[in-house]
Amino acid sequence: MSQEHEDAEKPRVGIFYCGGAMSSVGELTGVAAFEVLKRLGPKEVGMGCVAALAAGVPKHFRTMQGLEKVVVIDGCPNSCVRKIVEQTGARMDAYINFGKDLKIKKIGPFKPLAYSQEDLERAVEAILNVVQSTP
Amino acid sequence: MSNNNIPENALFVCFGGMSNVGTLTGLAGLEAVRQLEPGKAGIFCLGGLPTEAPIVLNKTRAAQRIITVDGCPLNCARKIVEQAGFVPYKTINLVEDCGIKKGPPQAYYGAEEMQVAVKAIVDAIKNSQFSPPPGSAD
Repeated sequence: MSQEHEDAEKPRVGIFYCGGAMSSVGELTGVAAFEVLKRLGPKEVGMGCVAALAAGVPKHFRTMQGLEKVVVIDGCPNSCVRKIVEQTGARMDAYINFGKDLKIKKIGPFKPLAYSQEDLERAVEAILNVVQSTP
Repeated sequence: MSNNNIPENALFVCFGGMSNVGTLTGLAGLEAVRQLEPGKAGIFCLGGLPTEAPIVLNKTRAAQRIITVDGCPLNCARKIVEQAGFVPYKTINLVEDCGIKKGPPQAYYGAEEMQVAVKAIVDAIKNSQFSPPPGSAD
């Protein structure tokens, strides 16, 4: 890893997204989270590595613990990211499940890009609201 | 696609957002699947393995081969797949195997890096048809 990477400024809010691609809502978590990053910039939000959390990488765990707020996003009722966060004892200040909370339809299997533009906009709006709300 | 609608090759991509190469695995995986014929490969849910989601475990068992795609040398996707008791047919690491430099998440990666990553995944899948699935001799 480069020194430049090590010294990169930490964002105010961290986002753990599912990014699972067996269904549309899983993929949508990643797409919507990166759209929020694009709109707010890297000083405001940064993405976490759920895989590193599940694999037990200490540095990635510590990095997310040190942020002002951590938002956890799942796509479907399996709620895998929430379970991983709870199993590892990682931080979670806010939680969004696109299926349960936004009623976005899960389309699959293996149709990661089957979400609609309307679904994307609703997902982005929900993440923006959570990121920008006071703790 | 096999007759049970499971892709032949199960791709597990890290899609971590803390580095450029992690993010690239997710995007390159999607593009690789798009370039391949339908049913050849599908991106599975990495999060479903440590949480033992039945649908993810069952579909993974039904796939003929597993290919992991990691961005950085931590190889988290590979570790998660192996910890779940599966044996990858092929592992790809974008830094170690493709020579792509790891940087901060907002670091630029261009069309060339994307092309290299996609080619590595597509080649692994195309070459897989010449090899029997792991464990097929049991």
